[in-house]
Amino acid sequence: MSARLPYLGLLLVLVLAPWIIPIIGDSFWLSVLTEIIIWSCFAASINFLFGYVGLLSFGQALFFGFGMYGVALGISAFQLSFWPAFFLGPFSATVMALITGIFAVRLTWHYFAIITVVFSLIFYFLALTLKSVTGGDDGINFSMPDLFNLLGFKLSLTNSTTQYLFTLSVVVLCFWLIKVVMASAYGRSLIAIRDNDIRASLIGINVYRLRLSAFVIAGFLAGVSGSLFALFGRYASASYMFYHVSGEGVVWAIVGGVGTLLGPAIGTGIFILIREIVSTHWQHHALIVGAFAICIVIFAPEGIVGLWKKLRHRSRS
Amino acid sequence: MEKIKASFALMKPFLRIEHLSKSFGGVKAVNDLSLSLFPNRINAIIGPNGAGKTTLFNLITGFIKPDSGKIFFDDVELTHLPIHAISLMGIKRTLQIKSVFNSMTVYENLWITLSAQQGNLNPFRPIDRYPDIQNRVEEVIEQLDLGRFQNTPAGALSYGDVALLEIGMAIITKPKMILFDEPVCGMSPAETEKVVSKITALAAQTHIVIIEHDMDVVFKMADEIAVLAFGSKLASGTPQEINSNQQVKEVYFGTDEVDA
Repeated sequence: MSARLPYLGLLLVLVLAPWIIPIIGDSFWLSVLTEIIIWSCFAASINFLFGYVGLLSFGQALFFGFGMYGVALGISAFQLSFWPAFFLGPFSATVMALITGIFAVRLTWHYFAIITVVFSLIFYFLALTLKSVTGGDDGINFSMPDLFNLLGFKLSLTNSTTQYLFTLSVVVLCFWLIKVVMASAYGRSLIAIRDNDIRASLIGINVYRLRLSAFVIAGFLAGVSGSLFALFGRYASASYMFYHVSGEGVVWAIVGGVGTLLGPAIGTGIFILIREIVSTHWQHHALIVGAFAICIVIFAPEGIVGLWKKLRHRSRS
Repeated sequence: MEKIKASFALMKPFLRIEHLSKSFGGVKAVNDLSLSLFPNRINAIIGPNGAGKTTLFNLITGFIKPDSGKIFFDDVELTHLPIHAISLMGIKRTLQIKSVFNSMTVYENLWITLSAQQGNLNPFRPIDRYPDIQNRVEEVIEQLDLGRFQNTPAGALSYGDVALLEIGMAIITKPKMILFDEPVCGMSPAETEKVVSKITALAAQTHIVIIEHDMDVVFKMADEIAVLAFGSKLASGTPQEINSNQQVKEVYFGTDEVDA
């Protein structure tokens, strides 16, 4: 029970945030927090591959983009209502992850990293070119359908509190799923592959199939975050499929701590806060981000969560 | 000795290798090798460096595919199966450079090994809810005297204890055959003795094949020895027979050209 207490405390604070934030500051921070939560799910997708199976993907933005366009095109082109559109986003990202994964997970290490970049670049340029469908760099806008509309009782994500709580529920559900899955035989098999893929195959694990399944799950997570982000900004744009976006996610995950559940969320939170606070005063905020990332990688290679665990361990013994 | 010879005709080999060949570039690592191994004894494969011993293990366990020839285990052809499928048939292997899951504890290493053999990939059932696996893991931990290290990450173990853990991972699934690739390589005399006695005790339960460089160990443990040289079988027989074989002596101990 005591192990769960910090999680429950964090969850409580997050749930109450829409009412706490207006008391202590500008309600603009609620939308920053929404964004942090969305991108945390993206960083979790990168962590799922790198932290748990040992595959470093620089192409997760591809699936983020598919999630975004799934929702945006679902609403604007196919006239779908909220839930079918929100299903279409992660679904198309998952299918895309399956198709690209069949080729990508045949490779490991830098070869894997390169092929994921290549895949995401192909579709980035494709999305730029197919302007009639994707809107290219400008993207496409859509108007938000209701979350539900029952006997006149309407709930819509146009309300920032509803938006926030909806986003939070979806992402918490994703993190909870990751936690459950990683405590199972399936999750342990992934860790086994990360540790030693030869020994994993020698004990009878089908390494290729498990890597592929992890790639698909990671694609799903990136797709969920892309879908949420589309709903957040009410638009989708090809620029979010650029590998720059993937790279940022990799930095967030590594700084927070790969192979840990909350590391990616912490890394994401810190970097987005730095960006929001510093960028209003100084346009070269990326310099601070870079310097910070370099320091973490050198002095705390296991990330902030790894450092925290080490310090706590030391103070106990 | 005569008795063993006579029983050959009655017994079926558990492992049958037929005209197996594998080249790397121009080098014939395994060259038209035919070999049958029979149950109820510890089989050892010896030979000078580069004789093709480890290549043979790699071929049997599916790490590499032969250029030609076939491998049968209990009359099932293994030749074109992937590593994990061969493992699931009950063929386990230890590696020359000891290899386990370093970030996992001793307990978890054994747990995942048994779970994988059962094809268990349930993503929702927590790992502490498998009483059957848990019992068997505790049994093996006791059998190998690894209790002190149960919750130690495998990466923090001494070399000898990693080797013991690797043996534990080989036996926990009650396999049909275990291939030991230089099981005592790099070990202290005390560790060697421990490992030798564990392997000898296993012979009653499973087929055992050993590659080993340490001749004292081989002649002490093995009931049947096959000698490889340049990828082919030079001789086979009991330790006494091999010991007195002139050809073996030349290739192995005698001439200066071959590095033993």
